[in-house]
Amino acid sequence: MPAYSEEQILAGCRDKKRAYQEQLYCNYYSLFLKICARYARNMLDAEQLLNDGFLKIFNSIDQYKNAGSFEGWMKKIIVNTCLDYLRLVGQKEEMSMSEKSVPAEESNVSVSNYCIENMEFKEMVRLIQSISPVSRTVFNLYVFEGYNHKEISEQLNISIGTSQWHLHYARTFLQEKIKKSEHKIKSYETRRI
Amino acid sequence: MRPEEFDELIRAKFDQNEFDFNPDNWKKLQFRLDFQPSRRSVAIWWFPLLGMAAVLAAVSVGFATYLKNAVPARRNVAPITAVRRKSTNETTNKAAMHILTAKQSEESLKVIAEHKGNNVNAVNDSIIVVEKDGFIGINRDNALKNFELQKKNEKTRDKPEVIDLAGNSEMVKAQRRKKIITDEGRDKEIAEYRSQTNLKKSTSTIDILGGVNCASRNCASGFTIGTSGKIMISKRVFLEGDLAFAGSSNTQQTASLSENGFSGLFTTSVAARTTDASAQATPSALPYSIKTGNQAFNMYYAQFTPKLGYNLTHRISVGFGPDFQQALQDNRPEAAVLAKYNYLVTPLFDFGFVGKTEFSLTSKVRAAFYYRKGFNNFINPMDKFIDRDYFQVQMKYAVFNHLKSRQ
Repeated sequence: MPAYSEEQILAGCRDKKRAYQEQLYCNYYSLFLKICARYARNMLDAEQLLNDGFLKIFNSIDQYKNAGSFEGWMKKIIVNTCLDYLRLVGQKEEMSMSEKSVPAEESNVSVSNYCIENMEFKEMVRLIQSISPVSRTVFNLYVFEGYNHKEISEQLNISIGTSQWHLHYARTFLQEKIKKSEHKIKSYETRRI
Repeated sequence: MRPEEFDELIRAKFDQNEFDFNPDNWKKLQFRLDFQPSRRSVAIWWFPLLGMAAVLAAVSVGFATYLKNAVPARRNVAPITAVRRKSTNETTNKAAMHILTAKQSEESLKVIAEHKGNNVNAVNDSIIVVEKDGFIGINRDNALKNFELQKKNEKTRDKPEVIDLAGNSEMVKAQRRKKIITDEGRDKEIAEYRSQTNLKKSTSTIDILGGVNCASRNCASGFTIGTSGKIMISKRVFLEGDLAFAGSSNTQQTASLSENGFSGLFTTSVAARTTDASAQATPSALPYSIKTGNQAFNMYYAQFTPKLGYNLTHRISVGFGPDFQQALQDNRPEAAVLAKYNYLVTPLFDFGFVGKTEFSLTSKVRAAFYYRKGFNNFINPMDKFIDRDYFQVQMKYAVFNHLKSRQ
């Protein structure tokens, strides 16, 4: 596949040319699939979300007026697609959540850097996907997209306190899961020795 | 470990790792790009043309009807009567001075020529003056009949009598309602006649309305019931507002994807898809298959339509204005949010414009042809709404009609 510049890709995509669309898809496949994988409940849904997001990008690429980063514009569409997905999944699971109070202190589960760094990437993705939808989304928005709790509360139509609770819950959940996997790794290594 | 440190480690984990490109995912997307519905379907472009043609036809029919029923020109209007005084039992010159405004036919000219000796004269092309005897006619048969009747009355002279009049104009009909007209009552008769025949115009009206919507797509056919208020702001320009309850029958197509395990439902408009048949017949070699099915549902809207109108004639008016419709309940089938921006959905708040042509059938009953064009997709850049474009045939009945004389 020939390498095109971003301007060429943009122009080609505006003309609905498949080769340029494919190039754009290839270039951003991994980056955007990582985003989708964090929001989805499994990789099949993540791939579906990725394609939904790219479909929106291709259909509305004429609306990109070269103002700001093209990657940022696409990323926003992908994240919005993921948030729409949450509203679908979350509605069924826990959108009717009541006000939740934040614990006085953050949990302090001891997780080693070593364990996180040596954990399989796919295992890490799987752990994030196992968090409940709303908590997962709050965690993603806060940690990866850089939203604050006020912005999250407006985006998800929840209170700031509820947002804080979900972030706390997601962190605790992940840390506990990582801790468990740490024990498994240690016991496996002990057996090997 | 502090929460910030934990977050940083998780972020780093994602930054340092990549997913391998999977060509199958591109094939799936390519398939969807190839089979996605065309936003500009064939059905759309001719719809406005059809609307304009229908409005033009309606205006033509209305104008022709108006011309057919038009009252003759009203120059020198006066009751056409011959009055005989009771006291003298004679037909006075004054009473016999009557003017009929009518187009002078060839036949009437012949009548005038034949009865020249009876003081029948033509003043000009359109006015016949009967100077003495109460005889007048605008066609031969009626004129002769009236002449004979007058002769007969001259013999009996027992009671005052209005000599019959020929013609079918409004003023003749009005005249016939009074069998006896005395000389003293003549002025009153004239005034009464004028009040009857001078058409009045309404300055404000309140109507009840009912209409039927018809759309080329299965998204807006339905009905409208409500009320309408109208007020004249000048001789020809008026403001009008409709407040109505509208129901529309919608049909959307649901499609489910299978094979890749994703269980989302996709909802799209039937009308918005031009490749339905091909989509249903997905070849098995493609990455996944689509199962489609129609789902019908009703939407109910509260409608407010302010309009600025113009009276072309006293029977025909045109109007134009914005149309606001708010769904009273969200009855839409549950659509996959994933597909929210890819497929068209029925709007909950629907903004559009209406144009109408209205005909006064009677003083209380009016018929109107509306064309409504949805405007949501111009406002919303994501172009995700079904355009609720439709024709409407509407009948209005005036429950309150404040009339004012033209004079």
